[in-house]
Amino acid sequence: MEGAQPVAGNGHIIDPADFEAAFQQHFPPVYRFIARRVGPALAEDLAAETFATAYRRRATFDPGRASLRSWLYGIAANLVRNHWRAEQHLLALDARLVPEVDLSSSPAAVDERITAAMLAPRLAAGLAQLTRDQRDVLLLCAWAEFSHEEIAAVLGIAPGTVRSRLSRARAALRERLGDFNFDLWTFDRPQPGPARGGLDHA
Amino acid sequence: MPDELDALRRFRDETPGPSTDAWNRARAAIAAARAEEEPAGRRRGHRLPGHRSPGRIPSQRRVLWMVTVGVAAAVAGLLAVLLPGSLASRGTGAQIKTTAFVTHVEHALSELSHRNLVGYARSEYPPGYSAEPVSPGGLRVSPSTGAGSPWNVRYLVVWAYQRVSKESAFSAAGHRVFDLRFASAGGTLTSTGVVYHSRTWWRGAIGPVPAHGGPAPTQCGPGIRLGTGGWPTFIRYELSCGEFTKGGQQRIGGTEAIQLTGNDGRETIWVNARTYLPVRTVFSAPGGPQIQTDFGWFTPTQARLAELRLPIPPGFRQVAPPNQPSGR
Repeated sequence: MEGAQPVAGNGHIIDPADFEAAFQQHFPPVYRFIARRVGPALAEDLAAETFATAYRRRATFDPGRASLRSWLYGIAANLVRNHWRAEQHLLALDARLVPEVDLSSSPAAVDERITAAMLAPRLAAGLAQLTRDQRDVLLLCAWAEFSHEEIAAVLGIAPGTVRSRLSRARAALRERLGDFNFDLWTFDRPQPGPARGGLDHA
Repeated sequence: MPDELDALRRFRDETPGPSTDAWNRARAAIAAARAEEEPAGRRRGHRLPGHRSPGRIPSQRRVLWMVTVGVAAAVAGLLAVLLPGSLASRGTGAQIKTTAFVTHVEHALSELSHRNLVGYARSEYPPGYSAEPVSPGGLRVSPSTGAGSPWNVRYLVVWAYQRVSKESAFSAAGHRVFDLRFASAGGTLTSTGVVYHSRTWWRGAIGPVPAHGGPAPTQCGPGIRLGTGGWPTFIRYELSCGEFTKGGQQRIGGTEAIQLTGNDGRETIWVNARTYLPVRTVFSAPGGPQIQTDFGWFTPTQARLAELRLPIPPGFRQVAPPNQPSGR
């Protein structure tokens, strides 16, 4: 997990040099988290807006109440929530299209890549069916690797609420993955190929 | 034991970290936020480390750069980005090179349809410039009328795939100014525009889709059409014509690139040393700004194809396409 410690000596980011250090440290993971959710172009906007907002509000950041990392992800999560349709559209695309599979890597990695390609449409469809609240909690857990308590701080909700939302989200996703055998890391039955979507011009 | 969270951790795990563009955009947004809270006289000394210093625009550069896009089919936006003012100098010696260069770029992306690549270009403008759609296929780039102009732009980004391209203009703070998407439908080139400050959108026809291809180049000069060799062939041909002089090799953004310098000194192109696809161009319009464009060439993925989408934001009002005179 990246950037758990505050970058400034006292944890504050009022001083421009401290803010710059925080920016250098946290921008890549925050950008990547957003890009995984809404795609790279919109992520550039939202990641930039996240740090511009953080700069404007930096005086309100209290390292005694939350880590800098969770505070920044909280800003990012709020911005992403305003782009629900974009996120849904990207998930719909992923649910329909066959992901690229790079088979040029080592032979041992090929099976894993193929399995990941087979899983991707189902994961996308599963994520698309979650509520916003469930998806926020689940992705902060899986992609940002926050603890329940940290997610509670990010979203400003109670840890118990995090646990219940996460439980429901995981159950819904597991149901969507159906006959996927986690022990063998493959599907028990051969999967039909996903339908190709309208954006495939080839 | 692995579970659904492990599966989810692998999902979209190939998403790369921020590009140089993303870093720059974030720095610009932070700089804008900082500027909001500082008195104007104090702004100079508080740049973030690594933030690019804005260049000065001499006041006498009150020249209009008008770009008429119509020759480039699906890559019209990219031409607008690359060549402000270039088509206004018809009949000059420079125009010969410019026309050839236009053809380069046009065909470079046209060729991508055969190679199934997604083209990306980002052009950065110095402070004090505005860009405004003036017709369904035209974009006017000119010195801004003031700091408060809603058309002030700092950079333009183009994504192109096959016969679709989308150009997005951004302010210094990273906010979208407008989006233009060009696409062909039933043999007609159409454009769709979304203007964010006025919360409006429009759709208009530009004209018949120009044909690409044609015979291989047989002579130097204006109006050359490219053959099937595409950009790499044409670069080599152009070098043989003496329009560009091949320079040394250097790394541009991590890519080994060959420098090609236009003989009029206004254009420099760096092409990938292996593929000959353009990596970067720097173009100086006569009496105007120097504009750098960085290119990317990618395999199509869902996320990249999604860049070509242009959803009309809720609540935006449809208006007639712009139809302004081509000059002032």
